[in-house]
Amino acid sequence: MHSRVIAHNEVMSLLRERTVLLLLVIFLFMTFLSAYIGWSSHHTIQQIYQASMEQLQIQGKEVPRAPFADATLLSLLKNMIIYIVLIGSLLAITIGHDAGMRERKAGVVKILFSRPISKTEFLMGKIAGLTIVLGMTMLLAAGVSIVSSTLLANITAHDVIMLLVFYGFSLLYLLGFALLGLSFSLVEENDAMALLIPVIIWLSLTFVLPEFTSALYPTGSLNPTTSQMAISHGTILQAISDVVKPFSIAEHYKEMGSYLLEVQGSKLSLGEILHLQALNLAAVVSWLLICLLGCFAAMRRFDTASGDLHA
Amino acid sequence: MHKAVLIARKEFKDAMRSKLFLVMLFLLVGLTATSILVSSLMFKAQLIEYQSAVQILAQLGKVPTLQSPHLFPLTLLRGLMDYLEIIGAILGILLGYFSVAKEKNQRTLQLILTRPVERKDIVTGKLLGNAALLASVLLLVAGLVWMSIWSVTGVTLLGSEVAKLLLVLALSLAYIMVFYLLASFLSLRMRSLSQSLMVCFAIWLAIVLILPQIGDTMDPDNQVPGGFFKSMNFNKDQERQVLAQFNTYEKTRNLIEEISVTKHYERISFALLGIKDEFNDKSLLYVLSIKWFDAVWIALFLLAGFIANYRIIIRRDALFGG
Repeated sequence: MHSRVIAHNEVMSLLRERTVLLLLVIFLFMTFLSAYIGWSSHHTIQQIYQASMEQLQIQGKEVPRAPFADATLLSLLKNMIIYIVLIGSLLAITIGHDAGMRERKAGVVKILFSRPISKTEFLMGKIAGLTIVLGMTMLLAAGVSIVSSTLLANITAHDVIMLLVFYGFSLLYLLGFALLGLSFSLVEENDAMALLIPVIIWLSLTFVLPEFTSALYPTGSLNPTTSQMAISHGTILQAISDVVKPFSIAEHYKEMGSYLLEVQGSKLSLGEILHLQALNLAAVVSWLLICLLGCFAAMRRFDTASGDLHA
Repeated sequence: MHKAVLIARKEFKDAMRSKLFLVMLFLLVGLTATSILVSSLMFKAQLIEYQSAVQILAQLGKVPTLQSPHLFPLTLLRGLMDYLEIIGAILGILLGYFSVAKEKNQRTLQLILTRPVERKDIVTGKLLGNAALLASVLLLVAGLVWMSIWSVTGVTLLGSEVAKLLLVLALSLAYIMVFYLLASFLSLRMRSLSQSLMVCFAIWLAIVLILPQIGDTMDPDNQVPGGFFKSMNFNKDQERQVLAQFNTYEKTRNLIEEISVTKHYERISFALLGIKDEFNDKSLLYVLSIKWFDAVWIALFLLAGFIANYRIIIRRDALFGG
């Protein structure tokens, strides 16, 4: 019962936060823009292919097959994978941080825990609130993607299902970051440090680890079309890659996301994708569970008698 | 000026004592070394692949037409440049934020202003102190780069290569200071410090990651893994001929990229380091004659940051907000 009240309060408070709203607006705007960018780039590259084809024909050379002939409608939304990894994660960290810091900054921790409420109920309420806010965000993003895709091309029931699954999967990934933000905001004494530590972890997961696992330069990993470079077997890099790969959560997310949005060029059924991507899915679920455990550990350490930030 | 120098020294010492700054510093130094190591391992792997391909062709009695991979040592800094773009900008934000936050939290600005110190001395002092700190960090990185390249590849950087490296680091200093000034301005301008930090991160996200990412994914050549024009067996001239027909699209894409200071920094740095193939082995003056425009853009962003900070500091309420 207490958890429900806390969750309700959490949702209402987060939706009143100006920074959260700013990031939310940026995220939804980019969701809309991703469909347009995908469509516009695809449209232009088709015209460029036509122009290139004419030039090759004049020169009497053989014309290679259009490399994007198999591109599907969903693959035009491929930028969403990157926006989830960038904007979505930062949004998730921000709301997690806000959720953990709210009572501490307001100096009401002592008063709150003088009522018959346990730490577990408090935490469960916070987690439920975060899940609702992020779930609503993903639902809104799915709505924006469906509407924008409908405006640009014919969308099928299969596409809608795959989009919903993609955003559901993204929710699992983002919830991990929200819980990370929540954990540090419960244990850190300094407000800025509590925000910066999860940001540093996010930076490492998003940019540093992919360099070791796929030889992708940090900014190179932001292009959803870039294929992962094959690292020669038997090299030191391969050994490093094998060790680091399980921890490279952003890559697991991007790999499975690219299957769900058909960036790989093949239209597979959901069952086939789940079968092929079971390991990536397991990695993202494990990430969420680890962050959840981290949250409970942080809550155990949380001192209700001196939890206020300026106590 | 003497007062500004005193403030600068205090700023330098404070940052050196900051736990978070030290964490970011170690992160940057660690990533410098590892990115050079990863790049050189990638080059060695390419070399091994080339040698085995040549061997196979020789066994088949064919004459190899493949060109042997050539090592341009400064190109090994590609990963480092990416980290300076991303983490360097965060380092600038942190320094700018803490530089104002510590004064606001402890309400020490009021105390300083009871002494014969002018407001502009405070901004100048903080700016000089943090610029000196960042310059020291970048010189440390330069030394590390020199040593890493020497120890990993056996190549000693000399003459023009050192000059190019130092110029890139000077540009890096200007680039990071743009973010320092942004964070300092927002921390002075906004009432809530944690909100100013979050807004900084939102702007950082847009400038450093999203705008360049949009430009990059709109690039026709990036639509196909390995490059569209390569898949069509086109050379650079043919590519230019085709793209000339899509001038408006290319201009829009370029405009999106040019809003971002990061893209200007990337363009000139990649050219100086020869990461862009067409600039490999070209003289420093040749690269500057083509890429000076990007340096001017970085300077303009820096100037805008200076003006914004000086204007906000002379507003009375900016200093006393908490």
